Order: sequence, then structure tokens, then C-alpha cells
Amino acid sequence: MNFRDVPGRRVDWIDTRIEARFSNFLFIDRRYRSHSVLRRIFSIARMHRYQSLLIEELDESDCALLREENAALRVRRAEYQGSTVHRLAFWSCLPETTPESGDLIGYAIFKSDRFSDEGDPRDHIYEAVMRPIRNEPQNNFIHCRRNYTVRTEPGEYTVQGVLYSQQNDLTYVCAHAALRSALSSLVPAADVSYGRMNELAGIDHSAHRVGGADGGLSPDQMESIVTGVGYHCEKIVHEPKLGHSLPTEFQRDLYGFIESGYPALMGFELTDPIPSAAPPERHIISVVGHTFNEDTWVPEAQRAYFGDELSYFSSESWLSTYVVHDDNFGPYFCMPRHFLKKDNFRIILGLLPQRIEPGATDAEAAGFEYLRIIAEIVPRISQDWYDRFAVFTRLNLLVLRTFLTDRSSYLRHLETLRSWEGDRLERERIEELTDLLPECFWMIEASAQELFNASRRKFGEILLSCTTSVPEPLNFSLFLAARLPGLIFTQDSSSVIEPKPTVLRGHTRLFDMSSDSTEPFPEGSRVS
Amino acid sequence: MNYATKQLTRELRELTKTDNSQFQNHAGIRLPPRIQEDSNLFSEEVESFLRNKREYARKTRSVSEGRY
Repeated sequence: MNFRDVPGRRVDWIDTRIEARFSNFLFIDRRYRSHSVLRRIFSIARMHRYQSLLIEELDESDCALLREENAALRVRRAEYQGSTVHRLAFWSCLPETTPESGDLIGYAIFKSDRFSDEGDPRDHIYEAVMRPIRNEPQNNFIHCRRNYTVRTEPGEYTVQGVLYSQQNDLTYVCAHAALRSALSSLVPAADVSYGRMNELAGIDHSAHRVGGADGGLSPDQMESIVTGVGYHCEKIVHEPKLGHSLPTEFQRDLYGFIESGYPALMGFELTDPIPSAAPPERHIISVVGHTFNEDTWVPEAQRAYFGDELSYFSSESWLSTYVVHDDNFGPYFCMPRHFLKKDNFRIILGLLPQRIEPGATDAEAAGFEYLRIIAEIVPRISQDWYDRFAVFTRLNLLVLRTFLTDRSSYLRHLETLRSWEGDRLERERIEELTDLLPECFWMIEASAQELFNASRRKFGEILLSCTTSVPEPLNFSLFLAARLPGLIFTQDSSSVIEPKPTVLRGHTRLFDMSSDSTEPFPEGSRVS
Repeated sequence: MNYATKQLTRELRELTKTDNSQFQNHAGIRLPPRIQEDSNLFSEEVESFLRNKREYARKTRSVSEGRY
């Protein structure tokens, strides 16, 4: 049982409209000891124009998970006395009315732990799921969101978002909180308890502790948690003091996970204002989405003015910010793309459903190489859009967007593709692709500036294996297929890439994570 | 305009002026050639990028530094 399923005892249902003179600040100062993260959560509710707040108290006797959490605290600190838990539900309807199905804006679990040797209780947000403030129409792509159903006094209501949680610095720390956000977006049950995480990491709260002077989790422990719940963890580290300096931009690796619809954790070293002999502290946050800026100056300027020798533009260049949950500050913060410098960056842990090889940046480089070879050998077929593709490729001006997808999502995408002339891919060609594609693979969409960022369309795409090591030297073993204007390329058994004609000769729309993806977890309720 | 942009402008304009197709489309007779695998096709730049990435991943696979 979790905190969403538990019946609560109503404490209050308050009119929170501005015209009712409700102040978030005043309310939180008076009722919740000026808790800063709660202010962030209330501000998200305000941005959604919330009209009421339902406060329910949850009891340990009704909730096995709460009993488990409190039992861990008793082991961790003998002074622990007990907890008070409030479930705060934010509504877009007035108090004492029957909410409509879309009226739940979000909820937060506010937990106050009391200790005999401390005056005030220790407060934290045990969890919160809030509807994101912006979505696709506002260029916000929060692929990790999913549905959460909450049992409240007026009934069961669903909210769509990414679970946020805050450390208590005793039985769970920032790594637990970040992992919980990330794993919740993947696992069928939509949550993983701290008890389970600690069991997998070997934390027993007596001989092996976390929090305070005992510190946090190591990368190995985090990997054990991810693999222990059945997922794969891809690690990218930058440890210059150990002689390991990441040779590439970490942002490209991070983007590879996020654009594929999977969450990632990003860890960094804090800047110590008073340098000491002790190693600087570290912090880790979960990255759950990104924003997009179709008018950004960066791709052109980077190349023209700042000497970047690029063979193509990565679609990551149009990324404006990463959407992150930071357990210290709250959910859905936007972190500008280059805000975190490499000097501070230390680790990315990308969560994936299975071991993937090659990674996104390697697949993108190999995909570009295959496209370059195609354009070199077939430079022109007297069809406008193919010929433009070849020119952009030859001049190192392609825009490439790389992400993992699955066969059924891709086939669904193909079924819906139309050129502006109304042409569609022939049934025969779709069936040929169906026969040769594995369950999961890399899709690298090839486009050009303006076509990509303004029209959100592309020349086509190349498909690469995600279960084959990059061969050395490079050969065609990663190549599955390429669909370009007027031509589809597939590989026969003797490593020969063969072109086949198609009437789909124009540009087509980009893959849309929210409408083209098939449901990866039928028993769950993930939305993208 | 930088070199690539000038070249792009020139080549795109060229496309509209001429019709020097090497290969007729599928309504015609001849398709583009099949592409035989050949190590000479691949550029050293990409090979070296992939090699460096692979080497770094191998070196850092067991690194578990710091506490979070």
C-alpha cells in the first residue's frame, strides 16, 4: 500500500482563490513551518489557478508503507518519537463540490518526524505529483510523466506528472530521492519504496547508514538499486582528479537518454566557498524532460563564430533547458543547457529497460557516417527532397535527432506519414521493414535547419541496432534500414545496402513521443 | 555567410537549374547502385571518435567515486 491509496481523515478543505484572499505564503508560514519546497509546490498549484486545497491526515495504522518508514527511523535514531503525515490535494474546483475527472492538479505528502532531542519536528515532502506547468504546446517535453490515482475523500482522481520526493537525511538521501523519481517513471507499480532501495544498497540503518555525517550512496550502490528492480543503468563519469576526463560534452550523453523518453540522474560536485582538505560535497538530481527553442541562435553561431568543427547539427542544439526535480528545491525546475559546467559535473546515470549498445552519441556518429556514404554514392536522383538531403549531408549541415524506439511505435509512425503532396509509404515497404526490424532499435532522424526546428519535419530516418557493439573498424553491422525521400535502403545478408523505390518522395513529420509511442507498460499507466 | 552556408546556397540553386540525374526514378528503368561494404568508405574522423569513446567507457566502467 502507498500513500495514495490510504483513506485519510479530513482536516480541512479550504478555498484558495486569490479573490478569497488566500495567501500561499501566509498559510505555509502558519501551518507548515514556512517549508520552502512546499512553497514551490503551492506555487505550481497557483500557476494552475487552483481553487481549493483538501488536507487529510494519514494514520500509520492504515498504511503499511508508513509503518515501514517509521520503523526504519526508529532503528536509525533512538530519539525518534513518531510522525504526522498530511496529504494535501490541490483542486481546480471549489471546496465541498464534487470534482470533475480533470480537477485534481496534484497532491503532496507532507511528513513531520518528531525527535525527543529536537524542538521542532523535521519536515519534508515525502512525495508529490503535480501536473507539469507546461507541456508540448509550450515546447516542454516531459516524457517521463505518467498517471497517478489518488484516493481522496471525494473519490478517486488521477493526476499526470513525475513523482517528486525529498530526502529526510536519515534513512534516505538525495540519491534515493532522485532514484525514486526516475524509477517511478519506469516501473509498472509507479513507485519504489526506500525500504526496497536500502535493502538493495545494503543500508540497514545501524551498521550501514546514510544521512548526516554518514554521507550518501555511492554510484555502485545506485547501480545496484537500478539493476535490482530490473532496469539497466548506463554510467558516464567525469573524475578529473582520478585522471578520468570525459572527452566529450556530457550534455550530449544526457540528451540521448532524455530524448529516448527515459530518465537520467545527474551528479555534480558542489563549489566549496571555503576550500578545505575534505573532498567537496556532491549532489544528484533527476532529469525528467527538456524544453525546446526553435529560434535558438546557438547551432549556427557555434559553428560560424566559435570554431566548432561539426559534421552535423545534433537536435540537442535546440534544447533550451533540462527539466529536473531537485529534492532540495522542488519539482519541474528548468536547468539551462550549459549552466552546469564540466568542472562541477561528475556523473550521469541513464536508466534504460535493457542493456543498450551502442550509446546514443556513438549511434548518432555511426548513423551520420552511413548517411554520408549513401549521399556520396547516390548524390542525386532528380527528386527535390532526396537531392536536398544529399546536399545537406555532403556539406555537413544535416540535423540529426537520435532516440531509442520500438518496432510497433515505428510502424505506427510509418502508417501515419504523409508528404505534403499526400503520398504515403506503400504497404509493401512497411511490411518489408516489419520483417527486418528487431523489437528495439535506434532511430536517427535526418533533417535540416528550418525544416527541423520550424516545420518539425525531416528528410527521413536511419535505423541502427541497439544490441550490437560498434565494430572496429566500422562496417555495416549496425545498419538496419534507412528511409529517405523516394528511397528505402535495407541490407541483404551479404552486407550490401540495397535501395528500393517508394512514392513517398517528400519530407515527413518528426516522430512524436506522445502520439507515436506505444504503451511500453500495459499494466502501468505511463503516458509517453 | 560562412563557407558552408555559401556552398549550400550555391548547390541548392544548382539543383533547381539542372536535371543531371544519375539515376532515373522508379517509374523509369534504373535504380541507384547497391552499396558494397568497403572499409575505404568510412572516415578516420568517425572511427577515431568511436574508438576514443569506447576506450574511455572501458577505463571508467568500474569507477565508483564520491557519495551522493
